Amino acid sequence: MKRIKIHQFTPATAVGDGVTTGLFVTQKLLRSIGYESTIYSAHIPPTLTDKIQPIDMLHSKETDLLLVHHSMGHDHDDLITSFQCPMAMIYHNITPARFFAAGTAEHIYSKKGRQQLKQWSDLFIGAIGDSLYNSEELKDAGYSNIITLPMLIDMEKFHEKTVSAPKDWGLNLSRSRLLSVGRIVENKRQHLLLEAMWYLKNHHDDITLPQLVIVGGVTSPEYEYSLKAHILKLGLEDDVLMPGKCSDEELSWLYQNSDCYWCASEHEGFCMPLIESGFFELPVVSFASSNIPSTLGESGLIIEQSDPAILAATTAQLLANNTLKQDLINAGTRNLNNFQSSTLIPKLSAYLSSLNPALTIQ
Amino acid sequence: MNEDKIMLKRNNPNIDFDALNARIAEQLTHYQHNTAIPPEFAVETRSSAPAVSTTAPITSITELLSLEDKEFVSEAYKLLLGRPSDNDGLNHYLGLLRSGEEKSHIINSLAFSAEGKKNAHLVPGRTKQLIKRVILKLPVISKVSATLFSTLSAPQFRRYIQARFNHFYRLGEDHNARLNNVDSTFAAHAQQLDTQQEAIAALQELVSQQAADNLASFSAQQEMLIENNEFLTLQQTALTEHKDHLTAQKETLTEHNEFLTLQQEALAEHKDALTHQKETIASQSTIISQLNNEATTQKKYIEQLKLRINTLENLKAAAPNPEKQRTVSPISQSAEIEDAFYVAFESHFRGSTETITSRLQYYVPLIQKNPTLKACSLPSVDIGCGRGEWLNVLREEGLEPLGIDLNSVNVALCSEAGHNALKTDGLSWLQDQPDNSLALISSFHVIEHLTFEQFNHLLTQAIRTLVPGGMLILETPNPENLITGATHFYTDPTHLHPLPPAFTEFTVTYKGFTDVTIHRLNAIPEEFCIPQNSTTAERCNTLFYGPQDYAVTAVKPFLDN
Repeated sequence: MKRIKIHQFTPATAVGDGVTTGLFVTQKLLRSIGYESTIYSAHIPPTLTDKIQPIDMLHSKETDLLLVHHSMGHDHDDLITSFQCPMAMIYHNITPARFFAAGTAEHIYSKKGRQQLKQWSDLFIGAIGDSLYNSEELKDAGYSNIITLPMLIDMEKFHEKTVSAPKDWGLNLSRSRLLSVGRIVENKRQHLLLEAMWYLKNHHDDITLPQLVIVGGVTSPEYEYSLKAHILKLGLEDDVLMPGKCSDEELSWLYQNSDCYWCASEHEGFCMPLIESGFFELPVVSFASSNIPSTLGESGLIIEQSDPAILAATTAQLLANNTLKQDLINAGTRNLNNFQSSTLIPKLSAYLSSLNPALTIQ
Repeated sequence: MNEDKIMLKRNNPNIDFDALNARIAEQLTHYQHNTAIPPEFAVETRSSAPAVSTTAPITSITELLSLEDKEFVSEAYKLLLGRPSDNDGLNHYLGLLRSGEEKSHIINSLAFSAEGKKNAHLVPGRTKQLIKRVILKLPVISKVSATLFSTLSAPQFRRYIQARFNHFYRLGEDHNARLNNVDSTFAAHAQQLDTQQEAIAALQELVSQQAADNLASFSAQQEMLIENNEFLTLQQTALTEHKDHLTAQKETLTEHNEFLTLQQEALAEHKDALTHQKETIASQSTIISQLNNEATTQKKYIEQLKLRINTLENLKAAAPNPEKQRTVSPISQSAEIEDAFYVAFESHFRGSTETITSRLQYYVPLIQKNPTLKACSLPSVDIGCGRGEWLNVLREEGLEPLGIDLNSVNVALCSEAGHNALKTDGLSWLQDQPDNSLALISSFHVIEHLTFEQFNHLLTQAIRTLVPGGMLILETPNPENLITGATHFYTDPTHLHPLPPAFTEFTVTYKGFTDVTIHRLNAIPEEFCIPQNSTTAERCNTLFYGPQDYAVTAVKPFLDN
């Protein structure tokens, strides 16, 4: 019997990139349902040539459905309009242009990406948001047959990681830790974390002050400098560590040896560290912004106002209350289920059948 | 902080958010009671020195006056307008300050602005302080007032001085801290320098030792080796990468190859199927063309049959006597006419052997053009062969002639000339011949001796016995020449009636021959004709001096094809 072909396309792929991981996760799901599924792209790094095919190889006439991944804007408009098969959109969100300086490539392609999303709504028979937040945007952009399926995480990857304690960072192993992972850039608002630390240090005799570890590469050197100046002003030199980027092994150690995960970000399309915290049984306290509530689901404590005093007060409650901590760990583990293949496969299968009964695998 | 305000999203039914929110609110209230708040975060560039800021908020104009520059303007906004400064305002007042404007003037202009008046309640006793500053500016009473005010406000002034001292003290402290930092950094650097110097000294010693051992050449070689090694390592890395890349490509190609093989197989199958279909179509088209031929033949037969039916019906209607003899009588010469008489009669009226032979030359090209005659090697029969002039022509053309005549004298003459000749009735003889057994049937000046029934019978037997492609030649007097038809024809007492060419042509066609052609022969030589100078002469020449004989030639069709 001829196998049903559901292929995927994304303009560019990169090793370790969130969208590329999503492509592989989606391919795994499609293949386990029984579809023939290949990933095609216009840009393939050399180490992925065995897993991803050049887009010229796609026979769109013989494809039953093409899943087109969209995030940042790109210049392959002609390609999208040339495919001769039914298409469904998978939307990964775009960091809004206002977070980039005018005139930069990021600013231009962020704007273009949103224009393209609106412009193409009629070309697609359905659309998949990888979060509720993204599905809402798809709806506003005029898409129909929308479903939310977070096909993003390869749980097996977590198991592969080995653990080793970071060296030479000035970690005080006798103190507990607060962890925050993300690039050092204005929209991640790490300065609010510093201010929350100030509250914990200056207003709490009830808890032992943990160390705050802010992990991540620097994309805004000016902001990093300002953060360091702020640390001095707040008198937190011994309480906050900013070691920059770290290895997977070091990151695993931090997840496993911290008491709470902090997130102050103003914009997150998904926010993978929140899921990783769930996996490593680390309770999360975060401000409610963009997609964060959707990614956390029932897990984590989500603060409505971006106020560092509330972040400090909430964290103090968490650190002093083991029952609350355990409730949050349990919720984090439950939340992982939403991203497991066993949860996603039946939903994806039913959705594809609803798009076109001919796509049903008997 | 309002306790009812929702601080946390109620996203988890297992957590008692009411209790948790209440505890957090309590904590926040505790924060508020404690007046200290963290300094504001400011984006700074590396070139700007860190701002020295007060740890407690400014609550009076006196305190405000103790501040300088940017800090003064920012705090003036907060104190007098209850909000942080906007960029334009900040730049405006900084510009005034830096160009020598008094702080009190800036305070006045902020305090008495529309926004400042609205926020007057923010500083208790503000108006009093401000009025004082306005009075101090009045020209006449200012000096008196100033003395008075300074006496009255000595404690506040002291406080101001103290604040300034405090400010300078803090600046000093800050600078001290920085200097200490720098000192310790210097100390660390000095220590590092010492260590490095020691290392350098050690190295120098080592180098001098090695130099003694002719180090120069050795280290050059070593450097070369290291370079080579690095180069090789680079190449190896590059090769490994290439190899990985090629392996990946190979796998892809193998997959493609398999796919192509499958496609090729499918194509071969399709090709076979197409060839088979082509063959089927070819054989079907052969069958169709055969069927077409057959249909044409059948159509001809049907037309002939229709004609025959019509003829028979006409005959039936015309036949008055139902007991009319149905059998066909042989071509019998009247018993009263002797053979010798007829031979003499013929040579008298028909013409000499030479004349006849020369006239018969007309037929030679017709015979030569027919491909069947020579190819089939069957006999060519001449019914009524007479003296055998035609048999001679046929023999010269390489055919196998057979003469048939009822006249025994003629038969004897032909035999003498070396021909096969039979004295028999032509019709009876033909009737005994098998189908398709003769190449040519000819009969010169015979059919005018036959009844229609005999003529019809002759044609029936001729088309049966001739081989397909075989030829029929019948020559007879031409009644279109009125003199022939009216006079010469009746010179022979055994002639029954003249046969008009149209009749003969029709009958031969009707019997199934093809290529039926009329040849008008032996016209009267021109010298005997009326001179051709008018239409009348032309017409008369046609009617009286036109061809005296005509022949019908025809071919038996290849019906079975």
